[in-house]
Amino acid sequence: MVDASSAPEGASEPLAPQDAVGRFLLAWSRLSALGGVALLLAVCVLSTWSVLGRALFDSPVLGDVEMVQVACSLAIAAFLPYAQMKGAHVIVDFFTLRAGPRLRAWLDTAAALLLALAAAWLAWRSAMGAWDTYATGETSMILGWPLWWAHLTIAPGFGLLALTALYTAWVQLGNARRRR
Amino acid sequence: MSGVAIGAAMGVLVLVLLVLRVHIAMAMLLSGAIGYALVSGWNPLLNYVKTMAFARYSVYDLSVVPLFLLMGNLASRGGLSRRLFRATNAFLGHYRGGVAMSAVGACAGFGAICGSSLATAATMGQVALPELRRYRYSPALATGALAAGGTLGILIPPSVVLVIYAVLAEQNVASMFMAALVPGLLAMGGYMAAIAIYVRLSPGSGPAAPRMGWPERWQTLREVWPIVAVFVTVIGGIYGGIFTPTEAAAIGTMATGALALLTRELSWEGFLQAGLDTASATAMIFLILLGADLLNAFFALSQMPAAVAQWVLGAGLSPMLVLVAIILIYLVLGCVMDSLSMILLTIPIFLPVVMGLDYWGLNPTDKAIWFGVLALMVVEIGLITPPVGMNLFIINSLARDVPMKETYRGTLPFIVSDLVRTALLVLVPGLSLWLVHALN
Amino acid sequence: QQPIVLKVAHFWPPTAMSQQKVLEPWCAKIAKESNNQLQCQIYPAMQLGGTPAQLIQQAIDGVADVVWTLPGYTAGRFPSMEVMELPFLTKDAEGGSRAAWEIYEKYGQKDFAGVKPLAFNVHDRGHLHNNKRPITKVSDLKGLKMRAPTRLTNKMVAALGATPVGMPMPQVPDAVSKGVVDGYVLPWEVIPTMKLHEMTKYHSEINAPQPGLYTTLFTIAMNQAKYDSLPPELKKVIDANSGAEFSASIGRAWDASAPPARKQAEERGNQFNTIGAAEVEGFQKATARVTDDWIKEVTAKGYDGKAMVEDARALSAKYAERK
Ligand code: NA
Ligand code: NA
Repeated sequence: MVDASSAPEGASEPLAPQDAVGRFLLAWSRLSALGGVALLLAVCVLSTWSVLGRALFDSPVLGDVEMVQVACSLAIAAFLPYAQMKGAHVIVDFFTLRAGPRLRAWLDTAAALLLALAAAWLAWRSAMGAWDTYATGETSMILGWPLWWAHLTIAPGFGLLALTALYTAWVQLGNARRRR
Repeated sequence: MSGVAIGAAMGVLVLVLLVLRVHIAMAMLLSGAIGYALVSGWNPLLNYVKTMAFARYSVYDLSVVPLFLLMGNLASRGGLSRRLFRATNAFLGHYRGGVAMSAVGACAGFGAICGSSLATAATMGQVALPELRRYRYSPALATGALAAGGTLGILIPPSVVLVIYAVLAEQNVASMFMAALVPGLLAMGGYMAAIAIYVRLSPGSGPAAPRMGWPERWQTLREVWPIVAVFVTVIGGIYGGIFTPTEAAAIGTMATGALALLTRELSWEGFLQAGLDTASATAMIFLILLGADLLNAFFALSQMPAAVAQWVLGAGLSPMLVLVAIILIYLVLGCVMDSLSMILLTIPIFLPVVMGLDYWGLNPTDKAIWFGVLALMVVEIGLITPPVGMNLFIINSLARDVPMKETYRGTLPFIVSDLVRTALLVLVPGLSLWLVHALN
Repeated sequence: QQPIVLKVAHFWPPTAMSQQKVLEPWCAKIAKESNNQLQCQIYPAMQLGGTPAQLIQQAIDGVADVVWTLPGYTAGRFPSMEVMELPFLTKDAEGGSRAAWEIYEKYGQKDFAGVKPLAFNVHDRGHLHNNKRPITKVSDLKGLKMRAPTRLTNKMVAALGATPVGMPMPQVPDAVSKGVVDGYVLPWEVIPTMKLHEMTKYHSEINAPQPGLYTTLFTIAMNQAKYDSLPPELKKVIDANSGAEFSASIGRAWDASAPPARKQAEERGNQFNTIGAAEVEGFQKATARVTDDWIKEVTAKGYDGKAMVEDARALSAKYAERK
């Protein structure tokens, strides 16, 4: 139910996890997300440098576009688990507004399990894709860098997303049982 | 089953899963995967998914999305929104309804450096709502104006939804931004006009604030010029072709961060929070993109969009009727869904239909750009239409004592203004296209 | 009996020469020769999802049955066939395409495990286009920001003293009109389809008798398992419509596409110049190290690089003359 935006200030955020597993997953996702932010900042510096080089000295950074593409794909994959810990992956809750909290908790358990399964599947397939890229020795066009490392965070990102979704499912299951 | 039938079945499955509270991204991914396997087989599906995430996440045009989000979050945490509102209020506040108009104007200014509506609504809501209440604006007008003003975050470029439309429709991102600028400014003007009419019909709902003297006005302008400078650099640079949208976003983010640091309004905590907000918003968008990617690949395989297009073209309906029908579908969907998901779900089906019909003799590129701006406007109306309008919820959550019904009521004039502008854009495509032509 | 429908995927728009002059006629031909037992469903413009660089993997994995792509999009993956893209190698598209097919048969088969290539072709002579000045000698390229399509062409542009700028083809018109790049290397056909002739001032050509500055290699490849699964009579239809002759016919289509496209640039009043025979030597000298480096690179990977270059040169020359 959310458009393209940040979790807005003032909107209700899910409570911070109280148990050890949840705290551990949150810390890990947060670290992953901050690593991605550092990559984004590196992209900003690189692009600005390239634009200045192009405008002032006719010499853009060689292969800047390639580096931006790789850095952004690494960052985006690293962001996925954090969003799940913050409950930012979107659902349509309009149709179940009137449903009881217990039914909603059961549905949310199922949805989180589904997300966990899909994320694990994507992690497995993406790891295969990374392996293919490594095995065929594909390189980037201009810099000639090996491309496999551009896949480095993708499978781990989905893997951690699967774990965080499993955790959500467990929490929701608790809610569903408690609310009899 | 034929491909078209499977396509239709999976379309229904998406909707069923959505009703059952499955994540939007997963509803699309799952239906797409099942459909893909049914049409092409399991092995092709397994192979396709191998590099799907990398392929989608490394698209250069999409790199602009996290960067614009980071820029908006830095601006918000760095207090730039407050300065914008102080400046607009210094010039407009003393008219009747003027404080609300100032809020709309500040939303437009913030929208010029922020790519998202929710962030704009949340940020400006926090800044302007206390002022609106201090001058005793009616709760309906105050919350309605801010909810509507928030949509300017996306209507005024840069805009995340436009970037994604551009990638889907294979249009130039910079051209899409240019095409949205005049309609975005019209939206701002339309909202101000709505406020003016509202306070005329219901005097007392928007009293005038005291007039500010020129020294004070100059002072507020001195405080906002750096923001204006960032905006001019970013948007001017894109339109003038000095850099790509991605480079513009990178430069804008650097400049915004530097500004926030210079004014000492951005703490280390605020900086980390801006980064984390960016991470969560980006992840949310790109997970949906991934689901849409698989669903759309399956739709293409199933030939359903082509069949729908052929059926519509074969039915000999008038192009205008088809367009009105599409707009109505968006308005209905907008009552319950968010704008990005709507665009991702429908464009692969609607765009071929629109491209096959004749509208005002537009060439294919112009038509795709014009329809993109039109679709953007209509899906954004969904943010302020009851029952589910995300901007309404955000603003209402900031004003907890205002009943939701009041907010619904306050938003009506702005919905009317949106509909008038939509009709105008349908009838006069030149409103969005002339700037694209003038600058190319 | 149910006809077999081949999923044919490529990245061009449906209106491009590649679909209308090559794929559609090919599909019509195999349909006719197989009594409609073999048919195509064409997916232009990456409709099956993914990026152009993934097309070859889509063919290997069976996501598509037939793809048309550039082996050079996946740099480093098909070392053998890259030889065709070395500077100053081919004279025309038809002869170059015949040469490419022979090089594939002699050196390239192990690179393409998992697919059955139906054709290899090159485009006609690639030229230099820019907005700064007419290029008559190597030093004119100094400091120009030039867009090139593949790994080797980027190296070639750098060897000539320009700054290579990599970007996807769809971004090129915008980048040119806005000065993000000063110019680009392309064959004629592509230029008007992207409206590039409307935003380019100078066209500098290296013309016969020397080989052209560069070319790019394309392949039409079929999923191997799909081919193996065909009944013998349908295999025969594919065999009869693939290989040297099919490759040459695509080359012919490229050769034929150049004059009308060039004419559109002439009609705009753009400035043309031919780089003279004497100056071409300077270009050849400057780019010689691209070829030398390439030989070293592939020799290290276990190919006979030197023999491949010599063969590719000799074959291109032989077929260009025979034409
Ligand atoms: Na915006
Ligand atoms: Na709504």
